[in-house]
Amino acid sequence: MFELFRLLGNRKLFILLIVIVLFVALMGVTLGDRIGLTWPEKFVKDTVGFTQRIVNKPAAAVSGFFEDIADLNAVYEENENYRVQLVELQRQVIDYRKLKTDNENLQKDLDFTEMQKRNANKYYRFAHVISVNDDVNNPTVNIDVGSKDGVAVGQAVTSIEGMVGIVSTTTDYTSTIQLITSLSLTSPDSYAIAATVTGKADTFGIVESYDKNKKRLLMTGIDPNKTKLEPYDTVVTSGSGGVFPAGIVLGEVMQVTPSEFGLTETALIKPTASFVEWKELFVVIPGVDPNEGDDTP
Amino acid sequence: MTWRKQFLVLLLFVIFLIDGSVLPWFLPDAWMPHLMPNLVFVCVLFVSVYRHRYAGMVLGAVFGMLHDVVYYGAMLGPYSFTMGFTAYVLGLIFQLPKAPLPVMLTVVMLGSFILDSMLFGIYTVFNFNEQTYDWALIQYIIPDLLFRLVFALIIYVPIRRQFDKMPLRPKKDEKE
Repeated sequence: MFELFRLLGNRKLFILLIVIVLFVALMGVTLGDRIGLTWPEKFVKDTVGFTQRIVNKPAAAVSGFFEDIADLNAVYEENENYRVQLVELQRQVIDYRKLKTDNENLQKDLDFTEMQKRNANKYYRFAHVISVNDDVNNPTVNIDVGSKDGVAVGQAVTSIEGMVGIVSTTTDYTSTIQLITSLSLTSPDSYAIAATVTGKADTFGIVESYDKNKKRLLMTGIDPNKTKLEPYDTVVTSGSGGVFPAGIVLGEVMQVTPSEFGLTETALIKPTASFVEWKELFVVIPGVDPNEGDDTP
Repeated sequence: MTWRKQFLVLLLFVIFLIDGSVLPWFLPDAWMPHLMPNLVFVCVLFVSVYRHRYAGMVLGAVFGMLHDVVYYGAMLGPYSFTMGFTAYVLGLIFQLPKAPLPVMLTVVMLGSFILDSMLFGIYTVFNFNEQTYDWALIQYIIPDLLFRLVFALIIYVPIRRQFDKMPLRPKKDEKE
């Protein structure tokens, strides 16, 4: 034993070993699900988040300006399209209101529990992206809303196109999002997203991993006896399980293959979110929007 | 003449901010999945070559921990450990106050390579990625290396000038 110590007689090597052990312990302790953050972490995150917000604002403005110039040619055509879509949208809003009141009345008649009602409602909290971590192994994005704005760990985050990630930690004024490109079966903090296809109500599958080589989400456990999934079907969250509210767009089905054991099917889904160009994101918060008074029955 | 040191730390913090909050908005979209700029690390390597390996190690560990806390997604510690360790080892081998440009660039390339490989290793051990090393090498380790090399080329002259003006006190640095 003492021979070994003499071999390790180099004091620095010994310190290095101790440091390695300490860091491995730190990594192990902070791995996976944690209940809240300690106050030094919150303090650092909030302070850095504040300065990042200051730095980010002019940067986003300047880059937005250049993009605007690049987009200038397409503006007229876009406007034309938007005008047509707006008229259509107004027509649909009227339909939607009617359906919504019908639905609420039916829910009341059928004695829905508070939990079920809460899951049926959701609202989108607007957020600016203040910083991006480009780490391939652990991609995260920080946004400028926090627990004071009603954001909580585990809520879904979308861009205009589709689901981007899941809130992994919150402080008072900022929160960190883990992108769904880091979803993995083996990872210690994994999420399973219950998914279905729009227009095919009996389809069901679970999205819980992302294939980095093919750049596709994997939707597993699809029952082959139910309605078949076809390419270009839109996959949305189903809302069952109660973790994520229903109706968040995940992506498009690209290919359906039998799973390993042949009992179920696996679909490859192309995420609609691009994961490269973010300025604004939306946090999907279950429940009724507190700023909107007229929603209460 | 002490303000230069404080200024250096402040500059590192500004670079840290630029890293996360400004660069992603100006880099081309196609580069995004292949780059993790981590420009602070390049500056830390400069410190550990031109000043002292302990200064580099402490700065690397502190700014690595800042990175870990601010972008906390999986766990705390990987960046802190790898940045501190790499800065120390490269300082141990290459520490030379008059190191010429080619040596410094070699240090940046080696450092970048070691940092990304160690991060890959740590995340593999903790089951966060199931990719092979070849994939990682082509996907981000080599692009990173080139990007940091270009950044080192850009900042070499101004940083070197500042370091030459700073009085070198090896005895005092040893205690840090």
